Amino acid sequence: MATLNRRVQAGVERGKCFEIEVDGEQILAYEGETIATALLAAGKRSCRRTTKKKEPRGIYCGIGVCFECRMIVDGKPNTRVCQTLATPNCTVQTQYIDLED
Amino acid sequence: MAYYLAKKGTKVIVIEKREGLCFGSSGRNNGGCPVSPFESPVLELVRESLKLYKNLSEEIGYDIEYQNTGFLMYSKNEEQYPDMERKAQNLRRSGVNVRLIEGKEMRELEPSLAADVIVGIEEQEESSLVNPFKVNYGFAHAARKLGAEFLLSTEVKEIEINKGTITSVITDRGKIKTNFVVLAAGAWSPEIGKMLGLTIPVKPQRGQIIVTEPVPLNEKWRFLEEAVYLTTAFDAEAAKKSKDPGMKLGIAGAFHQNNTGNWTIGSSRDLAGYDNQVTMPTVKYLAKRAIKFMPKLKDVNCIRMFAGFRPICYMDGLPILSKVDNPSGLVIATGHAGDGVTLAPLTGKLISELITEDRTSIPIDAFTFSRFKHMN
Repeated sequence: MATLNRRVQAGVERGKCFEIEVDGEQILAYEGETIATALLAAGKRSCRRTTKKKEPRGIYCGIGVCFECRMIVDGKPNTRVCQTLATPNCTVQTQYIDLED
Repeated sequence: MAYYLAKKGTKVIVIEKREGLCFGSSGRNNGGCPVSPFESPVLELVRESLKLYKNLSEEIGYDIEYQNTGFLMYSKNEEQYPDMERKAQNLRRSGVNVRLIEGKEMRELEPSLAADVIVGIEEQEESSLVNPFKVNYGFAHAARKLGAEFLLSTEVKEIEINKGTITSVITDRGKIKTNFVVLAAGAWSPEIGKMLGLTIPVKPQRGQIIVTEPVPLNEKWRFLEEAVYLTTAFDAEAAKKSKDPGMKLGIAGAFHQNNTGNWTIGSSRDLAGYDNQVTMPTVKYLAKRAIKFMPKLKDVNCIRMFAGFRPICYMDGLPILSKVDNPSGLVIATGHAGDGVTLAPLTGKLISELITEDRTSIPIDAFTFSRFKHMN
């Protein structure tokens, strides 16, 4: 991938590298990383949109407390990506409620 | 009712025993207003009421979260196929625009449905969801603007009668002179009836509901009911005799996803007096039923549960919307069973017409109190 590599390289040994699918796009993740880590490393900061104002929400606390990073992971809604390890070929979707006006 | 009466220029005082509105069944339901489950004569009432709901938010200046979501009644039982066909035919004959739809097509439109759903009846134009709390608060807001008074934490103790005519209502906070009393206490109506020596054949029928966390909206249908509902709701005898333990608890899948993404999962029917606890066996059945029908719900958390009381008429299951001869001045509006929210606007309108004009814009002869003459 030709994008900026945000991961620390020096002195870090990583496990297997694999792809995960985020809103139809393939991004890289390493064994042991959470989905949130992979998203941030790929420059993706938005996880869901709020219902009323459609504002983006992203990773905030990173420790599973704030519930801002809820996404749909392998079809399961309200999954906190900061608490969920990336697995090969898992699918991740932005979560939002789309009311037809 | 207060709103529609006040709109006609009547001085209205609402007496509420509890400390706020929506403490009874208005705050313990799921706000679903379907058309397809009904048959004449209630069907006509429901359709008229839904017409009133359509522009109610603008009329009363309060957003009731009305949403014309449409409604799907579905079945997983091969044997029910002919019944469903007949039901769709009957509805079409009554002028309701329904469509019979096969399982495969349903799953193409709504991939989350289970593989064994075989047939459905779809109605899109009339069936709707509302927020029952907002309906109640909205009507109260509009009624107050028109001069109606609300006495909360006030209990009716006695109703005074002089020569066969109501003259006043005595509460724990004083006496109110009046020439009309509208008895609209839902499942608690029989208690007020007793004060007047009347037997109002209404019982509280408990219904339990599970509410889930918000999840993204379904693609096509957000308001669905299982065809078994027709038995549990309208044929209590058959449900009681059934060997199926779920059926005995009156369980029929009724699922609504409101515009916040939360699902409410019902429905159940049992008689437990005024005990408003949820019971574990019923809730388990409800949850299992929901997952069977929409497997993706297995990953969704429940955030609360509650139970409320449908005022069900144990004689014929029909509402009572009627003036009473003795004592005169009494008007009864109760027995709406599970359709209290659905019928709320129309009930208010009809009762206001009964009181101010002594006639109603649509016939309500099927709902007179005099059909229980033999009991009173």
